[in-house]
Amino acid sequence: MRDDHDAFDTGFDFDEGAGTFEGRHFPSETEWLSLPGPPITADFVERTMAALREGPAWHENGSAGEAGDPVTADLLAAFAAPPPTRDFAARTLRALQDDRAARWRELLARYVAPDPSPDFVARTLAALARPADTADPRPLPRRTAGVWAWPLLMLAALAAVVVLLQEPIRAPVELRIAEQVRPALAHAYAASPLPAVLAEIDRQQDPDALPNGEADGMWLLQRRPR
Amino acid sequence: MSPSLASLRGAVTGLRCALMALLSGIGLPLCAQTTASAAKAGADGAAPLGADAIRDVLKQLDAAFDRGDADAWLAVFAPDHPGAHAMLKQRLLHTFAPGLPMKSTSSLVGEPVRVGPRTVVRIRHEVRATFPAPSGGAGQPAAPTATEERVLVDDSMMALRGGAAQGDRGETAVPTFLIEIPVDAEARTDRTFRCPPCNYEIGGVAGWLCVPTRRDRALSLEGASFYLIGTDLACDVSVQIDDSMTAPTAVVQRLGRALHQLDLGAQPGLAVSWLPAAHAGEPPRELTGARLDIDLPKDATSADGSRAMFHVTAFGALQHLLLVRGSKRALRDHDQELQALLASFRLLDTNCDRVRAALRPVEHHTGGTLTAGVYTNDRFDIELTGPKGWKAQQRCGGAEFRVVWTSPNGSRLWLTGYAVPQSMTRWCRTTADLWLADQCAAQGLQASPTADAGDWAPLDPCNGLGRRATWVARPGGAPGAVPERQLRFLLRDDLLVVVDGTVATEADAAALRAAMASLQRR
Repeated sequence: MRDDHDAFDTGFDFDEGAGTFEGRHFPSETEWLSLPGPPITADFVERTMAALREGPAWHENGSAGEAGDPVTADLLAAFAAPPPTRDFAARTLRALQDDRAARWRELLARYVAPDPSPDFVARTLAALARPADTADPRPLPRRTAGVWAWPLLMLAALAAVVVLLQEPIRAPVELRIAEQVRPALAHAYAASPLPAVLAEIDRQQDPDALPNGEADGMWLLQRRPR
Repeated sequence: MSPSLASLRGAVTGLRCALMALLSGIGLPLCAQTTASAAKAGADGAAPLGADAIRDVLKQLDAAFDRGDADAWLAVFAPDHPGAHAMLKQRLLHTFAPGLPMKSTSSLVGEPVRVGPRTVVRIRHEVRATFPAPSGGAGQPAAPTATEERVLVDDSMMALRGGAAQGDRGETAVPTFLIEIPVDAEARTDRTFRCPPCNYEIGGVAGWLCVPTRRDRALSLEGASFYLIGTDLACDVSVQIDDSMTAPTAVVQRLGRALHQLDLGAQPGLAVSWLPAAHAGEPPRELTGARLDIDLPKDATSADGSRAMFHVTAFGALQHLLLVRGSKRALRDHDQELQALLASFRLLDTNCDRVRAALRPVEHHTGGTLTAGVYTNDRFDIELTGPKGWKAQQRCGGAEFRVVWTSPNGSRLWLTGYAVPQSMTRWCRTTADLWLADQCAAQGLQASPTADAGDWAPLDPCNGLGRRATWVARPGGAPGAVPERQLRFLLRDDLLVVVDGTVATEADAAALRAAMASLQRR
C-alpha cells in the first residue's frame, strides 16, 4: 500500500502493526492539518540556493553539468512565451487547487483507513473462533432473539422503504423558482416564475453582462446605513 | 348609496374611461369596452360582498402587519392560488426581516365587483415607517446619516368569498387571493388588455382577472397576469424583442430548458407549432408560433402535479410569450375558460412593417432609439455614441433600458439605465453604492483594491454625479470570469446609469474608452 515515492517516507515511518505514526496514533483530519511541518535543517535555504545556482540551466556557457542535455540561454530564447489568455490566471489557480485537493484526498484516504495489521487480523480470527458462550458474557436467550429479531428487522426495513419512497414536500413552483433569485432584485418577488426564467436565459446568452434586473426598493431601503 | 352620489360616481367613471380612450392614442393599455358593461354583479347575478365585511378583513390584516406577525397575516386567507399565496409570504417575510416598526392602513379603492365565484376589490396599503434618509443625491452634498418618515403606498387586487356568520356581525368575508398591482395601472375583468405599440390584445373573458405587472417585476417590455378567480390557474403575458429572430420552436425549447435548470423536477415535452385561434384560420405571412408543455412535480398543494405551458408568437423580432400555469386538476376542470382566454389573444396589426413593429414597443416603453450606433433616450435625456463598426442592440429586461454593442472581435459595451426603485423617492450615493456593490458581487467581481476609483464628482455633460471604477475578478471565482472591467457610473436623482465594457483584443480598447466617455446629456 505504501508508495515509495511518497514524501512521507523521508525520515518518517508508519507502524502498521501498532497503527501509529512515529509512536503516536494517527491524528484526525483537524489535528492533521494543525501538525507542525517537517523539520527543516538550518542550512536548507543555503543548500537549495546553491543547488539552483549550480544547476545546468544557470551556466552561462551552456554546459549542462551532470543532469542531462544543456539548456542554453539561446535555446530558451528561441521559444517565445505565448500571450496569456484572458482566463489564464483563473484556470491556473483552479488547476492548482484541484491538484492540491487531489493530493490531500490521496494522502488522507491512505492513512485515515489503513490496512488491518496482521495482529488485528489474528485477534479478530481468534475472537470469531472462540465458542459463543464465552464471546459474550450476557447472551440474549435464543428464543427471545428469534421472536423479536425478524419482526423488528422487517419493521425497520418497511420504515426505511416508506421514508425512501416518500417524495419531499415541495413548495409551489412560483416559490421554488423565486428562491433562486437574489433578494436584491425586484423580480425575486414576482408572483410568476416567468421573469426568473427570462433572467436565466439572459444570463446564459450574455454571461459577462451585469444582471439585467432592477433593484428592489425595500431591499435597498432596509440596507441604507443608520 | 344615494342616487346623486351614484350618478356622480358614474360620471367620474365615464370621464376616466374617456381619458383612458384618449390615452390609447399614445399606446397605454386600455379598456376596450365602456364601463357600462363592467357589471358589479357576477354572471350568475350574485351580489358582491359588502364593503363593511371587507373592511373587517383589512383591519385583521393591518393588526397582524403592525405586530410584524407574518403567520397571523397569512392565516387570515383561505388561499385559492397557493403559488400566489407563497409569494405573498415571501414578500412579507422580506419586509419584516429587519424588524423595523411599521404601521399599515389598508382601504378599499373603488367598489367591490363579482368575478366568477368571488368578490374582487382593489385595496390600497399605506405603510408608515422610519427609514434612513437618502444621502448625497445628484444635487446635494453627502449628508450625515439621518432618518425620514416615509409612507409607502402599494395597491393590490383582493378576492374574497363569504365567511360563516358570526353572531351579530352579519356578513363576513374571507380573503382567498391577493396580488400586487402598480398604483398607476388598472385591473380588468370583462375588458381586454390592449397595447397598440406592442401590437396585441388579450382578455375580456368572463371569470379572468387581468393584473398588469410592474416592469421591474416582469422583466419584459410589458407584462400582465390573468388569474381565473377561485382557481389556481394563471396565464402570464410578456412582450419581448429578439433581434436574432429565433424561431418560436427554439424559443419555447429555450424557455423549457431554463425552467428545468431552475427547477430540476420540471420535465419539458416536445415543442409543437401553435398559433392563436384568432390567426390560425388565415395566418399572416410573418407570424409564427410554438407551444411547449412542461410537467411540474407534485407539491404541497397539487396532489397530481402541475403544468406550465409556454406559448410564443413571433412577428419579426417582436415576441409575445404566454405562460399558462396551474394544477393539472384545474387545467382539466377549466379547460374551456382557458381556451377562451387563449382565443382572445390577437395581434392588432398584421400588415405593418415588421421592423417597425419591433422598434415601436421598445421606443414606447423605454424611450430609447438607436440610429447608426448612437443611442438616444429622450425620456431620460441622455446619449451615448457606440464604437464605429460594432453591432448595437437594445435589450428587454427589468432595467429601464439596456443597449449592447458588440465588436467583430467579441469586445462588448453595455449601457444600462436603472430607474428609481419602487418605494424610493430618488437615487442617492449610498443606495447607488449599495446596488452597484451587489451587482459587482453577483458577477463574481470586487472593487479593485489598487485602482484609485475616486468618489462621486459632478459630471457636467450629464447633469449628475459621475464616478469611475475598476472591478476585478474575485479570487476563487468562476473560471473564465473576466479578469478586469472598467466602468463609469452616472448618478442622477431619477436614474442610475452604468457603462461597462470588456475588451477581447487590445485593438478594441481605444474605441471602447472613447465610447464610454461619450455619455452625455442630449
